[in-house]
This record gives sequence, C-alpha cells and structure tokens, in this order.
Amino acid sequence: MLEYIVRRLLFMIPLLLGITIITFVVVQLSPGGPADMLTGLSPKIGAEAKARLRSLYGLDKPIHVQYWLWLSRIARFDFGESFKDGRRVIIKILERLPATLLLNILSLLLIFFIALPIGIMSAVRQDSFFDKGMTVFVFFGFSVPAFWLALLLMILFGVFLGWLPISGMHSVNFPYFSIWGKMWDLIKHLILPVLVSAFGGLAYLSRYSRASMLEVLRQDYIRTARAKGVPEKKVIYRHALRNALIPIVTLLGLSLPGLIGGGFIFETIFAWPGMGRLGYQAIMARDYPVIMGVGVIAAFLTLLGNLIADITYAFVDPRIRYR
Amino acid sequence: MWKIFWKRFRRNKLALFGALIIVSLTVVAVSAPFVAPFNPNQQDILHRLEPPSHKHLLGTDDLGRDLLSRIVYGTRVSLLVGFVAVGIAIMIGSLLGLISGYFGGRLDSLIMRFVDIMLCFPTFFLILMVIAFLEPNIWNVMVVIGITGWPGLTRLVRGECLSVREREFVQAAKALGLSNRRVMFVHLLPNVMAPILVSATLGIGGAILTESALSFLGLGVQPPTPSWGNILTAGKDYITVAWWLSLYPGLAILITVLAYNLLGEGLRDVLDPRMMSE
Repeated sequence: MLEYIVRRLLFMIPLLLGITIITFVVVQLSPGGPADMLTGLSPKIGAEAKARLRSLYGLDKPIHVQYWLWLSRIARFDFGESFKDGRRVIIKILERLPATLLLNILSLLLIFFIALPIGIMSAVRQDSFFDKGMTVFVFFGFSVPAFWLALLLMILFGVFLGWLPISGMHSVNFPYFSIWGKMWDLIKHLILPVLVSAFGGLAYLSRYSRASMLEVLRQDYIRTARAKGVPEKKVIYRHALRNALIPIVTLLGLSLPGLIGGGFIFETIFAWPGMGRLGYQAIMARDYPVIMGVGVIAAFLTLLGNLIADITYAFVDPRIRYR
Repeated sequence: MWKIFWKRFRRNKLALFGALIIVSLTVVAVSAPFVAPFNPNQQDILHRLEPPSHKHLLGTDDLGRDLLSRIVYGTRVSLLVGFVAVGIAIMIGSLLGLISGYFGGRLDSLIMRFVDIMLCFPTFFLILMVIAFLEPNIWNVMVVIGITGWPGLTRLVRGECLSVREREFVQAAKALGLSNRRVMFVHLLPNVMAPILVSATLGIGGAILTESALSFLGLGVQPPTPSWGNILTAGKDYITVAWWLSLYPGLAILITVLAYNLLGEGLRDVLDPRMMSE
C-alpha cells in the first residue's frame, strides 16, 4: 500500500511541472504580456522606467530563465504580489480558499447523499416509473445551463418569495447577530449556491451509480447469492452495493475540476467570496500574478482530488494494487 | 448499412425528437430575418422592459428591443459556435488519438501525459484565462473552446485504436506495405468513427453551454450582437423587474442542448451496441 502511494506521488511531479508550464506559457503568449500590462496603465512612463520595472520583475531575462525563477518561487508558494493592490497573492488566495472549500465540500456531500440512493433505486427497479422519471431528470441535468438555473432560483426565492438572500456570504448586519443567528445567516446564504453547484454533478453521479449498480447486479456472485437464498434486501445492500461503490469513489475525486471550474461562474453570480470569484476578478483586471496563482492552485487541488480518489480506490479494492 | 442504421435510429423516439428540434433550429438560424418579427437591434426606449404581450410575444429588453427577435438571431451564434468549436476539437482529438493509439510507445506516453495535464485544469478557467488575454469575440470563443475540448476525445479514440490495431485487416494492410498514413486514415479511422460521432454530438451541446456561460460573463459574444448568454447578462441586471429576460434565453439554451444530448445518446445506442447506455 505504501509503495503504491509513493508511486502515485512521484507520478504527480511531471503533471505538476506540466501544469506550471501551461499556465506560464498561456500568460506569456498573451499580447502585450505582463510587462506592458504593468506599465501600460500610465502613458507617461518613460522607456527607462519601463526597463527598470522589467528588470525588477526579471522580465528582461530569457524566457526559460524567467520560467525557472517563477517555478523556484512557486515551489515555496510565493506567487508574487498582486498588480492591483500590492498584497501577496498567496495570502489573497488563502483568504478566499475556506469559502470555496466550504461550498465545494457541501456540494460534494449533497451530490453523494442524493445521487447515490437515486442511482441505486433506479438500477434495482430498472425500467420502472421511478427509473424513467430519473432518466428524464438526468437529461435535464446535463442540459440546463447552471448559471441560468442560478438566475431562476434567485428570481423565485430571492425576488418573488423573498425567503433567501441572493448574494454574498453574510448579511450586512452580520457582526451584530448572536452565534446561532450567525450560523443561520450563513446557512441561508449557502443554500442557493450549494444547490446550483451540486446540480450538474447530481445528474452525472446518479447516472453513473445506476450504471455501476446494474453492472454489479449482472455478476455471477450476485446470482450465486440469490441462488443460495439470501434475502433480496441483503443481496442488494450487502453484496451489490459494496461492489458498486468502488468505481463511484473515484468519481467523487474526478468531479473536483468540474466543481472548481463551475465555481468561477457560481461564485461570480452569487458574489460568493471564494477563489473562483477572485480568479474572475483578476482576469477582468488582468492581474497576472493572481491569475497564475489561482490557475496553479486550482489545478493542484484537482490533482490532489485525483490522488485521494486513487488511494481510496486502492484501499477499498484490493485487486487494484496488483495491476 | 445506412438502411440498418435508419431502421434502428427510427425506433429511438427520443433521438428522433432531438434530431427534429435540431433541424428546426437550423432552419430558424438560416432564415432568421424572415422568422424574427422585428429587427433585433431596433431600439425603442419608450417601450423598454415591457412584459410579454401580443405585440412583443416575449417582451422587450432594457433598450426596448424585441426579445423574441434577439433570441431568434441568437440561434445563429449558438449553432455556429457549437459546430466550429467541436469541429476543431474533433480534428485535434482524433488526430492525436489516432497517432497515439497507432504508433504507441514513447509518442503515445508523451501525448497521454499531455492529456493528463490538460484534464487537470478546470477547463472553464483555462478558457477564461485565454479569452481574457485575447479579445473576446465570437471567433476567439470558438477557437478557444475548440482547442481546450480535445483531451477527452483523444483518450477515447486512442483506446479504440489500441483494440482495432490488433485486428487482422489492419495487420494485413500493414503486411501489404501500406504507408502509416494510409493505414491510419483509411483503415483505422472509419472503425473508430462511431465514438467520434457520438462525442461530437454531445460535445456540441457542451460547447453551446460554454459559449453561453462566457457570453454571460461578458467574455464571449459582445453586444449588440445578440447571443443567448449576453441576453441573460441583462436578465441578471434587471432580475427584480424583468423575469422574462432571464427565463426565455435560458429556455432556448436548455432546449438546444437537450436536443443534442438526446441525439447523441440515441446515436450511441444505434452505432455502438457495446457502449449501449443502460
């Protein structure tokens, strides 16, 4: 087991390098590039001052040297300072990370606890009314633009019914609430963003767990269990479910990039103070250090999610280690 | 062969329904000037933000433009982006997949590692990043969605190639001394066409969703050119007073993407019994 984990960790290194190269290249390829962006703001800036700035940020060096310098800095989690307010990028990201993680973890939990039973039920009662209804739901889930769903929910619950706040993480008078009042306020602000960001994954996972369950139900050991007279309930929950769960575990890790990527839209719509919104704002302001920081961290989180999924997979399925 | 295909396809009611919607949408897009009741950019400040009525079936927007006409013209943008973006993705994806699966070895692992890296990025952020540096317009949107959309397909095509490569007719073609290029495009490609076609159809839906999200964020098709995404931006700004601005463009997106998904799943059932959706 330990050997497997170490091997997987080593395997991550080239991927990490690749991620940094792509991020770096995309930013360098942009017309103008970071140097012009920094100086272009002020037309009065002289050529000499420009050169001084370039050498200050190391932008006058050859590109591979620049990459190496940048890489050795981000290896120490130093992404430089934001062009916009001069604060350190890593601190700006760390401030926003808890909000993003809270949102993503809650969505993942919601996806898992709703989609799984739906998928199992559909598989067990294949072609029933419930199953057909769920298939339709899944098709809609794949086709609905999530940001539009967000708008509709905002109109319904925020504007027409007035039950839920439609933006931000806290109310304006948040500091004056009691501890329970604060909790309740946070929950109210969480409901819509969590629902919307879970929606796409919900469709995906319920379809996937249905397929996985159907696959397992066809196996010989299920027929054996039935043949020897094990009660149907026990066949489903003891024999089938455990085996069907194995591939689903991986999927949770793999759904991370989708959730993080979706965060750029949802967090912007709901004005949620997370990493996605930070990234979006940085892109709109062409704040290169922040953009590169958010890109690398987001890809890194994805990689971490994949790693956790792989390790869990190996943990629950002993067959995998011998491959 | 086409007869068998059609016979099996006809039985799939949902896929037929999807195809029907797509055909109608294409007709609407091509004949937009005749279908739309008004000029989509005709402003009428006196009648701004009017709810749906007999004159303006879906109401008017913040500049008094007819919403129905704008949605009709938006069809053009969505379908064009879907086709071109997926076209680009399919070309890159199948070419790399073919090369990877056919040659194998170090070239294969190089390409596959690159695919792994690409799949790590939240695609949407990568697209945002590139678009923001380029100028946001419809052509850049199409190209960027295309060049970020190929990794999944590459993996799929490679997997298919690996198994087809070992079949006798490929071995025979190689033994006859055909060039690598000929074996790849004449003998391998037609045999991996089914999954390519399916993921192209599903991919068009995805590309339309991405375009609308980009336009919604102001990084896609720029106003005054109407696109479903940028109409929704106005919908968000007037969310408290004009629900129709938010409802109808999204409905258009939903119907279109749904149609492509239904068709794609239908094609999967018909073309590839092995990949039959449960």
